[in-house]
Amino acid sequence: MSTPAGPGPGAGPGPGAGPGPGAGPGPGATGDALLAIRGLSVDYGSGPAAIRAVVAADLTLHRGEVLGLAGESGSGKSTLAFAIARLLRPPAVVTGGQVLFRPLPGREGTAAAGADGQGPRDGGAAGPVPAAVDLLRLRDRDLRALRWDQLAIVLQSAMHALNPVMTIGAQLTDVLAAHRPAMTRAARRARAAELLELVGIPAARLTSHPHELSGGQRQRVMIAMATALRPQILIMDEPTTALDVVTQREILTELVALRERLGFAVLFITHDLSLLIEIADTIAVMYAGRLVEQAPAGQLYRAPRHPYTLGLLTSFPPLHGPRSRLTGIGGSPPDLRQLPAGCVFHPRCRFAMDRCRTEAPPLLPPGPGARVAACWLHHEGAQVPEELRRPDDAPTRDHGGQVPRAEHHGRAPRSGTAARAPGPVGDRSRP
Amino acid sequence: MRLVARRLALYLVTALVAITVNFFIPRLMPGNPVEAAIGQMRSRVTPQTIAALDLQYGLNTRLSLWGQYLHYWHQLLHGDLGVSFSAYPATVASVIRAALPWTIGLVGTATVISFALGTLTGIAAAWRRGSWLDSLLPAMTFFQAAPYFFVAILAVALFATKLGWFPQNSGYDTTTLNPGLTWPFIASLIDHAVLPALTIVVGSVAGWVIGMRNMMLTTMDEDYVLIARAKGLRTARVIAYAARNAILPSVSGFSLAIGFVVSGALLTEIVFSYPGIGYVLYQAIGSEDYPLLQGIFLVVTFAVLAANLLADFAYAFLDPRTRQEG
Repeated sequence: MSTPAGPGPGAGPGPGAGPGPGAGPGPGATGDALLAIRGLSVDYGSGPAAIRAVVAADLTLHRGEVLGLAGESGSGKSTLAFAIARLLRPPAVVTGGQVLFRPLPGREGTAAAGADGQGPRDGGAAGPVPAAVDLLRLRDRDLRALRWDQLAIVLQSAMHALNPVMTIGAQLTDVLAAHRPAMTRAARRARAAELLELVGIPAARLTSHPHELSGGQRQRVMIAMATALRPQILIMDEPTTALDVVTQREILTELVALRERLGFAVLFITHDLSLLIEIADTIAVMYAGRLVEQAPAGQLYRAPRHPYTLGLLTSFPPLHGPRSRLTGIGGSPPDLRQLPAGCVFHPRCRFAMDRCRTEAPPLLPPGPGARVAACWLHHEGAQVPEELRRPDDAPTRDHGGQVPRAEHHGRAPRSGTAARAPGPVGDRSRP
Repeated sequence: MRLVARRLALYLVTALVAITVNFFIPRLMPGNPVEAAIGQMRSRVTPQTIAALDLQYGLNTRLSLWGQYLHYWHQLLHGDLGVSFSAYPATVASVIRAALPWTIGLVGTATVISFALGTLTGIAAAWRRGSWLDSLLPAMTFFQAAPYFFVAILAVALFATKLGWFPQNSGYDTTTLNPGLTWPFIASLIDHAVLPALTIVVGSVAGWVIGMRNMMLTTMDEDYVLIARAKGLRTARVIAYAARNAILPSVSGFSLAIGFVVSGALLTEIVFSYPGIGYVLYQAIGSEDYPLLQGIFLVVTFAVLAANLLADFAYAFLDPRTRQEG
């Protein structure tokens, strides 16, 4: 059983690096926290003209968990993900915070992630629980060794993520050559072939170039590449957005199956909340660079606590259950250069109060339970509207009859949900 | 390889057209080239020579234009480009054959150095954007923008005449040495080539640097370079991911530059009195040596065509996307 080690990072909220009380988000148990993001802030540019793309984000990714990060375009979700992996390019600058990563001590100790198929890691050092490392302060050489080995990335467009002048095989094997120098050329080749077969692409495709594959195949290649070193974390930035719904479904099924075998945790970024409800264990919602709500997927779906989450949920239709009006969210995303005072969402919020216009709400538990929201409505003296007051285990009255799989601990996609193609929520979110 | 066959066919047609144009151009010129030629030959103009010249130009023959054209082809296929007037009785072929190695040696080497140096500098300048390398760019651009002959003459005046670091002209020390694979000759060869080669490199490197730097900056923003970094590859490998894509336009530029090597850096060879094709061409123009001009044009045309072909294949080799039949 792993115990928190190192200076405090694993145990609850870190010292609030950003403004506001840094409440410890996520389910109470932080012992299995794999990645703890504390007070992470990212600016584009510097000086007074800097755009604050991510503001004091606190987020925890647990072992084997699928953490969904939802939000509109420009909400800072991709910036947050790239900041974690230290892949931001100028003019983006991380202005504060920590990204604490606790590597695996040989094998997993938590029951939550079914670790079957997780063999001894060839790169991981067995032994006592390693101390958490702050990815943002890692030396270049250590960072390079850790990249892909522990933390891999899948981007939206696999066409652009694969080098057009190199064969699939070369791009699969060079990552093995960089991180597993002991492997022979033949072994690397064999492993690359195996990885391709694993995602349903014939090994003969190793000699193909990216342009000779279909969009879905390319994304499979990317996923195969991402899992090549059996990383503990997979960051997926809109991995299915560029694909048609049928291919989306195939890729997601593939991903779920792979995760079951390899037991990695996923940070899944998308604007499509309906998709996250199906595949994520926990969902965090971002708005204008701030995390506004985080909760277990089922709870977030049935009983949103933040008006913005409610708006997102009423932006796409349920397939089952009674008809309900799609209301969406009025107004348009804010200009990050001229953010409103107080709660950044208040100009679009139909429940806005006087307090919302002057004071920024902290991210706090709105009641008992392991969830947080940044909204004044849940503070004393406010009248919580009925829509934002549903009990966590409320029946899914008007969001459709599908049961989000997150409340089940089986990882396979449920046949009931598999039939439903996720619809892009963005289409309807703006009137 | 259907692509290769198609390309080759295209270039064959282009070559045929070029050869044909080369046949007609002298015939479109006013005046009688033979008279001009005889005017040039100050000695030993025998009736046989005149008859030969007449025959060569198709003057005073009863052959139709079509017949002359066939005759021209017949000669060409036997490697016979005619007789040079200014170097009479040497054949055009032998004059070109003597000049070609000098040009290829000097201009070819300088072009390769310029390309390699410029491309590597461009990669480095893009990777370390805003570093001291960027501040070199204006100086490089100045030398490319300044009229070449002016820079070259200044270089001769300063480094050869005034400072005496380099010889002033010719391809080697003609007064004491005979060409051959001897150490003194090779040393002299290099000694004479350094300054002209330097002026060519300085005058052309900016183009390679700027082209490569800009392409690099574009490709470095691509997702696959981001992924290469995310994969934890070594920096050199990440740079290679970007450079391999960024170099494509430079490669086609380089192939074309190779084609123009044969025509010689005309100004370089004139300024340095370097015995290459450019210098011969310059003299041929001055002395109205039509057969020689015609021969040089033909050789230059073939060189450019060959370089284009090379560029096509190099591109297909480097960029798999162009291999598809469009």
